[in-house]
Amino acid sequence: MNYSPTHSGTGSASNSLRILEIVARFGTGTTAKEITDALRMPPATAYRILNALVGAEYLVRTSDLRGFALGHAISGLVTAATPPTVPTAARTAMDEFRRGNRFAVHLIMFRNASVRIADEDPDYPLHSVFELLRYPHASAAGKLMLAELGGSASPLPGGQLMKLTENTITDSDRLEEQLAEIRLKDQASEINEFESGSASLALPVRMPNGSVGAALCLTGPAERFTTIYAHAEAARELTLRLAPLLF
Amino acid sequence: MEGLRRRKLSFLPVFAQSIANVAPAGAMSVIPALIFPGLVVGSAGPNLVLTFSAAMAIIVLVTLCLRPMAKRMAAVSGLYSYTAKGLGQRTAITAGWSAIFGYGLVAMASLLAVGTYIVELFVNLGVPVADPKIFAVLVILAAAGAACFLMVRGIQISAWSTLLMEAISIGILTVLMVVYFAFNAPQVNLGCVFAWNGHFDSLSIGIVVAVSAFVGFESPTTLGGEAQRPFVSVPRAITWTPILAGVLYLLAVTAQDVALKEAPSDITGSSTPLSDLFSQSSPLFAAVLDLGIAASWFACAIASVNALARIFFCMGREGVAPRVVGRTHAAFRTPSMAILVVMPVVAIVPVAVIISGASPEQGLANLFTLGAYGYLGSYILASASLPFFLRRIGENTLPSWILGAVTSVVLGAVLWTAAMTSIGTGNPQTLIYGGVLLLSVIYAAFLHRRLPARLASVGIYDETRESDLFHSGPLP
Repeated sequence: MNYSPTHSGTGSASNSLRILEIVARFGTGTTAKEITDALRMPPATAYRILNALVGAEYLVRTSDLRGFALGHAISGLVTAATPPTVPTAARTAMDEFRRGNRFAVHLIMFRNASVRIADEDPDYPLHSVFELLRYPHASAAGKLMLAELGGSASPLPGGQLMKLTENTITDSDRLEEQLAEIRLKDQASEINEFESGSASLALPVRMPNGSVGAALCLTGPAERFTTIYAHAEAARELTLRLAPLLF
Repeated sequence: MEGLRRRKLSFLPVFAQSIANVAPAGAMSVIPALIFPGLVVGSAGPNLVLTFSAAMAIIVLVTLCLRPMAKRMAAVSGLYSYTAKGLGQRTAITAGWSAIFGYGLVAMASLLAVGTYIVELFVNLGVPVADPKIFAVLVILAAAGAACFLMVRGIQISAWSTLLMEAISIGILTVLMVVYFAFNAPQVNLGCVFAWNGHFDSLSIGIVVAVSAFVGFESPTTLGGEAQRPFVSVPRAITWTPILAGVLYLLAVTAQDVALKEAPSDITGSSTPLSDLFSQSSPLFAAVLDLGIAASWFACAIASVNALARIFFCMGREGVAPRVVGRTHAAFRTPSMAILVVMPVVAIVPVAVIISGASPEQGLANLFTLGAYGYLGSYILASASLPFFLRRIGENTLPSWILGAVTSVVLGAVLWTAAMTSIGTGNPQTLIYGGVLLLSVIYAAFLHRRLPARLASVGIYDETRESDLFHSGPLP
């Protein structure tokens, strides 16, 4: 890494990010003095920005009030921005499962209440990545995540549910019903809801604490959904093998 | 802070706490009238607008000192914790006692005002009250009981109810004043409002009383643990409350100065002058006004005890007050034991004032002024703490030294002049407050010599927890 944070950039927005970066690098307990020294920033400016960042909870003060550490509010940025890493062992297991099956097998991870593509099927790439990330209510993996988040805290996209196809569920009561069913059956599916002519089955990959951290998605043409569904048991076995490799 | 409901209170209840503790509606109808007839200073009262402007300027200085600390530390016991971090634990004991004294006396005065105004309400409605004294005592006890219930139930409920009451009473008061002046506009002579009679002594004690109309604005600093985003909401609440209250006061004071100057002397000398003034034209008007003012004082009593209880609770936890007051309610997560211990003491004083037959207005004036001494004392120490606080956490700045010095010197000068004037008139207020200060110093010295470990634990606040930190990992 040859990048140095002493570049010239003014304005409190870029200064805020530079301060966050310094705290992230130096670690818990970084003091105001260390920050002003590292950034060659006037102390008054640094204090003002530091306190604004503490107010917004991007930073927290350590117990003696002198030092700073990254606050919980930053997890939204960090976890959403970092692509998930998938260990080679997990990739190999995925590839073995893919071999001989004539439908797409994707691994989707849930990060901070959003969907992230962890391992895409190289033979059948995803067409609608933007829609997949943005409209969880329409896809099987997305619905599995919403079902997991559950309750009133579910981050359904505010207001209206976007209609992607004729069959997309746009009624929030109906969606809630389906989420309840998903929790019961421990799997989610969609036929023609996300893309016309395609269908998916999503099976949960569980973290050690029991919560769902990822989805194994089997996707193919809608008319072949029964064939895909026939592989559900084998796919569920794969999720059990993937769980300790991923989490 | 274990036992209290952490980080749950949104901005509005935090703001409500400070507004209610200031009680603008109640204060703007009672406090100017205390200065005006010269109850505290003798015959010639000082200029009201000038007095209130000066008081507002002083309070804004205090705000500027408290804000940087509120942005850096989630205090559970307000100025007491700031002082502990700035000037040290021994001084903090004095600041804490002083603040408790202030909150306590204002709570007592508030309950006395509730009693006085409810009785007045019945009088204005023409309902015969068999024995006004007994009735007032019953009202005070009922109010104390209701306040206790609301506070133990939770800061959320008490904050919302106080905000509601305060909003209603400010509304009533504003409407009534507008109506009154619409009817009496031709007779108004604004010239006299801005006249200056050149009495510096009466001005300074007038300022002390006027400052008591603002005190309580700092009380959200006791909610640092309970507020959702304490480093934003607490500084915001303590900045806007004095400004909002100050604007209301200056309007009300201009209005009352005009109205009361024209009024007969029996009204200006009354304990409920504003409603007497209205009852000349309409008793119903006056009754509505009484209700609004009483509601405002009730809210103030709640807010004062809320703040007081949190300081006392902290002291209990630290071991510099009986440990038992450090207990919280298991279900409601409020400092219930501190509230239950404090409330009877707060209720007994106004009851005693009424039973003793002392005039309520004299009682109010004395309690408020005495309370203001307590607040001023804690403001001085907390303002002086600012530069030391910042230096201790490695954020030393030159402006903080200037600000801290100017504010504490100005506050000190006001307190000193008020004390001198008060001593001159033979009022024991200064002696009482001086006694409290002396006792606190002796107590702190005792702790220092005998129980240094306990003294060292003074200044607890809501520290960063594991859950506030960023955790990387695949957690959703």
